[in-house]
Amino acid sequence: MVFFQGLGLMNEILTIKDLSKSFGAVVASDKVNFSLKQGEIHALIGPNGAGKSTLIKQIIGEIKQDSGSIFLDNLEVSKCHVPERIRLGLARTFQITNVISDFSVFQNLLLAVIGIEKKEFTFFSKAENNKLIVRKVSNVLEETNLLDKKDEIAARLSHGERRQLEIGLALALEPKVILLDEPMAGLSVDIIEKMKKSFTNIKARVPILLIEHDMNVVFAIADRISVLVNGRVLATGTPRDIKMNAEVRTAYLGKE
Amino acid sequence: MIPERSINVVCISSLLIFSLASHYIGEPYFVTLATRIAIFAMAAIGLNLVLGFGNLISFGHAAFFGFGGYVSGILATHAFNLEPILDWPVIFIGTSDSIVIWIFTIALCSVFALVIGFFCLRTSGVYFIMITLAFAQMLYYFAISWPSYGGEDGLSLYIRSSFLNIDTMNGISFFMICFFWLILSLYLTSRIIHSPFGLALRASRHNLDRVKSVGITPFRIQLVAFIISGVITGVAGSLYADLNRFVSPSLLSWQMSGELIVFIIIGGVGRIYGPLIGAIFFVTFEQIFGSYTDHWQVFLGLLIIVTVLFARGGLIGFLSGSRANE
Repeated sequence: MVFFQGLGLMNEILTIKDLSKSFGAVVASDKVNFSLKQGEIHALIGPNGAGKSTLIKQIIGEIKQDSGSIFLDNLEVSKCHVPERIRLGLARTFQITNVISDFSVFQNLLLAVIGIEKKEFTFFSKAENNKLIVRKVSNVLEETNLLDKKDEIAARLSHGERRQLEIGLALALEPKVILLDEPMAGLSVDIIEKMKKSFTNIKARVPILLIEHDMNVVFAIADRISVLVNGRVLATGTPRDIKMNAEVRTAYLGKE
Repeated sequence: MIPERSINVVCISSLLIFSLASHYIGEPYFVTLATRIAIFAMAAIGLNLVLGFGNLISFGHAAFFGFGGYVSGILATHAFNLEPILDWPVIFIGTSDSIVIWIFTIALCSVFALVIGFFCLRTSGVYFIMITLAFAQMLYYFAISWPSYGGEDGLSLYIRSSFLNIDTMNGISFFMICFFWLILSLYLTSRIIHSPFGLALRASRHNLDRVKSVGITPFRIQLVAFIISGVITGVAGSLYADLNRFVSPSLLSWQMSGELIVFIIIGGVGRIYGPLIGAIFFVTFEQIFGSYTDHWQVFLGLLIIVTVLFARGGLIGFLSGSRANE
């Protein structure tokens, strides 16, 4: 398989096949097919209630799909629990910032590294004394520009800094895929610009599945866009394709 | 404001000095009192691990306290009466050797905590409080209705179990054994709290989604914490049975569970030394006010209300002026 990946024939890191989910009569996901390739930012857009959140929750494992399957790096993860999927290389950020608010920035990142290194059943040694763990935490602190906020309690960070921490937590997991759930919500313009740059840096290492309402951001940084309407993927393509797509314009973009 | 570390050192050393002084001036009653404080503190230290650091409000920890007590009581009774507990596949007549009793207590309490935790930890919040209480009450009524070991009247032991060549009937010797256990459980808790496991446990107190999102299964963390907690409280129960040379269902009662929680609240929730300070304060308070009136608990109630309303960090928080959980 490594051979094929090298040829670029099988470079899909995340593949979703015919994923369906309904809540009673409401169809939240209707045979969704979707893929995320190495090196790209693939944005998922769609009006409110289109089923974006439900899709994300199924990918993460918080909701079980009715049918269909999810592959991470050619491994089926449809039946795995959330922590198992994380350990297989799926990382996510939360729509509403979700860090441990009474931990310091350092402790938050420490927890992530402990989790991914499977060190949570170490009872007697201090995590701060493990060189490998501390080095990984320091790398992320540097990458997310949080080095000078290292010992700040997360609750005292600004909204933008908490967002950075949230992304740092995902990076600390050294994932194969990152799911960013509305990372720009509530951020000021200059921070959005910084974030855009950092996402472009990140995608070289880890492909990003981006859910975002800010269309300027989406069309500026996404390599591919999928439009989700009523639980169905209406279209997938480059930003240019999507802009030109008549169906999408009437269903969604046309309103703007 | 006094640094938290100094408060801790003062508390632990004053307990030691108090008991040694009482011994030398010939007041065995006060030595016993200090021993009780050490044992209660240890029991609450066990509870504090899940309650204070994991936010798992177990209202059934008396089950472990009493279970530990009965384990050692039953082993010692059989050994004293030379009646085998088991006659197949091996003949086992119980034991009065402390070390063996402790090993049994630790092993049985971990199994017991594993079973209780496995069911209880599927719930959270108020349901967790209720289900832990229900388990403890089940055990309580079981002990009352089980005549072989005294039922409602409890089980009297003739002699304390023996530890090496030390005369355990000597008050100060027995105090030193309990004091050793107290120090050990304080040491263990502080090591655990600052370990990766402790970090995961503290993280799981409010934010299970975040814990899952870094690949950790909170249930496993909480279950292991619950077992360690149950074992510490269980060993304390075993020592308490030895101290009084008596075990009764009252050790398993919900009042006992409540008292353990009170120690923690008074001392400071989520502080390693909180339960010790709470136990010192509680027992002293009981001694002083209990000598004036039988209704001393009225004052205790007032005190708890004041603590909860005005000193959330308990006595340690009040004296040191610091936030909890740091």
